[in-house]
Amino acid sequence: MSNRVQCVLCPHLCTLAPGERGRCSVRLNVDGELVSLVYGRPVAVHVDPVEKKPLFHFLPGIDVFSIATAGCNLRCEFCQNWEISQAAPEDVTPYDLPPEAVVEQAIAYNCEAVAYTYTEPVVYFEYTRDTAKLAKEAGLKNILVTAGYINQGPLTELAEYIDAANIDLKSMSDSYYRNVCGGTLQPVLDTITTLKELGTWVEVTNLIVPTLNDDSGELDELARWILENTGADTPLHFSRFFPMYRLIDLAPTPVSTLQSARERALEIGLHHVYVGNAVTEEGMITTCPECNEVLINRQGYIITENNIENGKCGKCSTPVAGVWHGMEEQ
Amino acid sequence: MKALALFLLMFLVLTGAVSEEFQSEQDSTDSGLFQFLVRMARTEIRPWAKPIENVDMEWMLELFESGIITFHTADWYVEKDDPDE
Repeated sequence: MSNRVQCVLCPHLCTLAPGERGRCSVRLNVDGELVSLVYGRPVAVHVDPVEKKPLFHFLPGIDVFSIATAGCNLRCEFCQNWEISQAAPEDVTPYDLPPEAVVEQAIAYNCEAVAYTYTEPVVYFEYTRDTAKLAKEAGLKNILVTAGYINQGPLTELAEYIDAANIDLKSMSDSYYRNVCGGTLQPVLDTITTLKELGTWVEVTNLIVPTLNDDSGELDELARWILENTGADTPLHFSRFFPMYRLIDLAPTPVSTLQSARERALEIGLHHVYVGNAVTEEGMITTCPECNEVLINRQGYIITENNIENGKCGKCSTPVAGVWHGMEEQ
Repeated sequence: MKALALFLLMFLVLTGAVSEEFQSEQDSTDSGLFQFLVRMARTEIRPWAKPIENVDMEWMLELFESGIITFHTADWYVEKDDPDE
């Protein structure tokens, strides 16, 4: 017996001999058994507004208990959380926080949801799933903030407990995924459509990196793909890049690039397109796709105005896509 | 990494370092190197991704005993047959 195992959690499908750990750095073959090195060992624990995930159409204004372990199955050269996502578990001092404690802490801090975020919840799959299951039983919502690089089987298992997800669609180019992120495109697209089909509330984020994925044609292609595959009501967040990790020589994304991408995505037909990591007047506002009334206004992560009543526009009563307090998802 | 392994493998073949005659006269270290290169050339199919890492298991056990890491049984994996069997 060779005691080799193959991890089938993500599309990398790492085949591991005893003593080897996968590309995520947190799943290790110990004598023929695959183990998670980070179960109950988050390295980041914070209470965040849901708008920070970002989720703009999911219970606006709630506080979210947010956790992350070390590790990621991608290696994005622009990673904004690289100190923990690209770290091995032994490189960062963790908290001892088993699933039960996460739920207790979330309730103690008056959070209405738990978010699996910052790094990549796919690589701490068992911890995410077990915590989400307990959180759901306790009446909390579960939020997944992910790059979506996961196989369909585990995704479907996890989706049973996930209420909302923000999925990072980094580009529509497979070569970009390979060369800049160390992954591939198609599994990410599959994750978005699968979660949508399974009833999870889905929002998509695209980090625009100058010179690498800021081509207007490619950004338009991304908006069109969302429109055609998940519908006009799926919120899209164009996020501003800041020099980080291996791309410290690049300048931050010009705000004009973000605004232009947003305007074109709206022209293509998406109803809700936002600008993140930058201060813009329109990029943080939710408007009614029917009458153009301002529905939600935000200053940073603070909601300054909310004209959604029972999930509908306060002016014309058109239903607004999302999950709102007091009503089911639309 | 795969290209490097293939290059080294080709180099060894061209220089006769892995011929049967040569192998029979060599100790297990050379055979191990050959097997290592063959294994690397065969399994490293994603050179653009983060590499699979061989860890120091004694150190891992120390980290586990100190509570820094866990050995929590994972799901979503399958046992693989030995490629040489």
